[in-house]
Amino acid sequence: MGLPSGKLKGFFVVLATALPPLLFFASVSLGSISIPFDRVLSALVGNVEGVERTIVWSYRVPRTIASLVAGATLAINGAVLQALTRNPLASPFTLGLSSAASFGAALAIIVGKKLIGVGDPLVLTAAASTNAFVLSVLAMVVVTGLASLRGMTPESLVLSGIAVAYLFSAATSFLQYLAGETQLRIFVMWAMGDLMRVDWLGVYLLIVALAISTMLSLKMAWDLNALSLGDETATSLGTNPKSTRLVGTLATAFSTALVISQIGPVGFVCLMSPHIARYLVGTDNRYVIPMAAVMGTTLLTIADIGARTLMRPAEMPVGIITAMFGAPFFLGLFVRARRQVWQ
Amino acid sequence: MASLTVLAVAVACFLTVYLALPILTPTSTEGASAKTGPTKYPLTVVDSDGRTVVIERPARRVVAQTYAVWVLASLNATDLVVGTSMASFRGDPIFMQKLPKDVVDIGSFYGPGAKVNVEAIASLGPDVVIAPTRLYYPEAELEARLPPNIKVIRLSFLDVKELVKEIRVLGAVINKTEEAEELAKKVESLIKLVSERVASASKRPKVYLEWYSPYFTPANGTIFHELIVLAGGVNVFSDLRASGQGFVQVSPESVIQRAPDVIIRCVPGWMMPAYNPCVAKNESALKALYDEMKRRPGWESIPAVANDRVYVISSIYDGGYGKAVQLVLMAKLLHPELFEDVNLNDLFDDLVRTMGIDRYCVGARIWVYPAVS
Repeated sequence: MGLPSGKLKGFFVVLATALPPLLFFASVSLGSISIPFDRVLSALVGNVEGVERTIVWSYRVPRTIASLVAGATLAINGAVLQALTRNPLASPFTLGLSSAASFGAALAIIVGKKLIGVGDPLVLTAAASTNAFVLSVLAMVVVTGLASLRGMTPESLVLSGIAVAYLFSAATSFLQYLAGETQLRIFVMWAMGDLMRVDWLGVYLLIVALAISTMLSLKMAWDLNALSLGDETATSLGTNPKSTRLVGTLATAFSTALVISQIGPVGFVCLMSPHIARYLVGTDNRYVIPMAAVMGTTLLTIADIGARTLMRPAEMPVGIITAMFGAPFFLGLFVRARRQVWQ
Repeated sequence: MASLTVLAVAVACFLTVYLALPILTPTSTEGASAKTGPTKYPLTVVDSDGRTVVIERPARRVVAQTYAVWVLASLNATDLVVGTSMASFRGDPIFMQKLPKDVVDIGSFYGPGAKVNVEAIASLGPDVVIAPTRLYYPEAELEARLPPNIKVIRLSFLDVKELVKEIRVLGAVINKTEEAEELAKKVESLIKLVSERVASASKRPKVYLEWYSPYFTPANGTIFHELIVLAGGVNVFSDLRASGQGFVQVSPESVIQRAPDVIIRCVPGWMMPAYNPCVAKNESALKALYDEMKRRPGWESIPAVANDRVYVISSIYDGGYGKAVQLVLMAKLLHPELFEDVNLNDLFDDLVRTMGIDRYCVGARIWVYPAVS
């Protein structure tokens, strides 16, 4: 497989945009209970009243939109961060966001503390998502602050991110040590991530996150390409590495924080979707980012369909499935691709 | 030499089984120890994992799992507790006043990543450790790592079928046979009351039970599944299997599809003061969850919601005697017409009085919303 030419890459991206609508229909028609496809369609357009309509509109549609949107957002954020740090292992999670979010959720679930007054304090999971958001924003501020103290280089970002991640993991482990059986169980479920908890408000928040990530990546794609040539070359091409990195990190971290607060720390998507995209369309971020978005959407939505149907009527945490199905797919590409997309 | 050892082991096995027979045979429901009069030591008991344990003398220092501590309170013996899982008690200011001040936290026996601090247990030098059954905590973890003079007895205090026997075993171990007998009788009569009455029920309602978190429900084989069955109901998720305290996350649409007749949401009264019937001033916390459940899209078509049979109950002190009280509560929610003469508030009052916390927990009422008495 040689490097795809410009036209072929464009074709790939166009072809890929056909995936999300297909996934949407697959996802709303599959679930714990079977509803025939024609009835799902009628329920969608409002020709069916009653339970089927409620199930489709109140449970499947928000959840499907959530997986489509969250998958794309996480993947874009991963792609942007990998480019900003020139590090194939970077993801919003490397910046300590998921550890911070987990700590916030643990505070709510185990200690019963709610950090700001939104939502019903007595519904543990609602407090967990508020806390998760607050703490991941806090982690983002700390990490970027520390990194800018050391010149906002790729290394400084990754290192301060990892240090903060360890700090929050330790704090979370401590809370887990203190926790009782039931709190631990609820926390573990939260930390594995699932899309069941997303309601319509959550869907709107996820759309905001996607909007942030999309605008950022449209604006930055070229700067990211410049950065991949090294900070000095990028400067000579008219890109300011420090400010690009600062703005990019803050925006991706904020949008990831929104996503994690709604669906929990689902990790694999943001790390691997950009790599899958690179194997398909090469290294130009103007193609990588949209392709990664489609791959993220596909991964998360298929994983969520699996989460809902593999053990029905039980639900599996989607985080388990993204990795279980995503990793072999990625490894297959990794072994078969003859070219090196990271120097 | 080797054959001698084999012979010795065989004799020892025979002896322990022989000594344990009174407990193993069904005729011995009177108890692990003597029918009346003082318990004789050394005492041989068989725990709920079928292990035979020899107790040299009445236990004076006890490390106990959460539910066993509540039973010890019912036997007026919390002063024997030297160590337990403090995570289970920190959220309950009422029972904290009953626990001795110097009780040491030994970590948790339950849940994912359960880890007890074996060193802390060993350093407390207890006579016995009342551990949960194997279902909740693996055997090798404890027995193998504790000095042999610390006896481990595995009792669940959650399994309704074992409750009476377990209370008697615990009573014998701490030499409080009379108190244990009295408690065992109470528990036995409650269990009998429920089983007799629900046997006459014309219909077994379908039950969806939600445990602490949305769509978290007990599967077949778990304690709460058993409780639903014993209370004369059918668990709508009995096709899912798990064990012990295994709960499963189920999909919202499957709850709607299975159309339960009764929906019960459990909240952790032991963990949050707002759910604690002895602490909370009113029912607002329970009501908030009740309202949230009734608002869920599509739930208006569920019979339980349409017929106003949605309940939020607070689980607290639900081991031992409390488990039997919870069984009655459950049975009354499922078959109100069969239990009109049973007053739940009286039962709860008796539970807290037996546990010796009635002076901290006066006039507690709100442990089920909407109120059922």
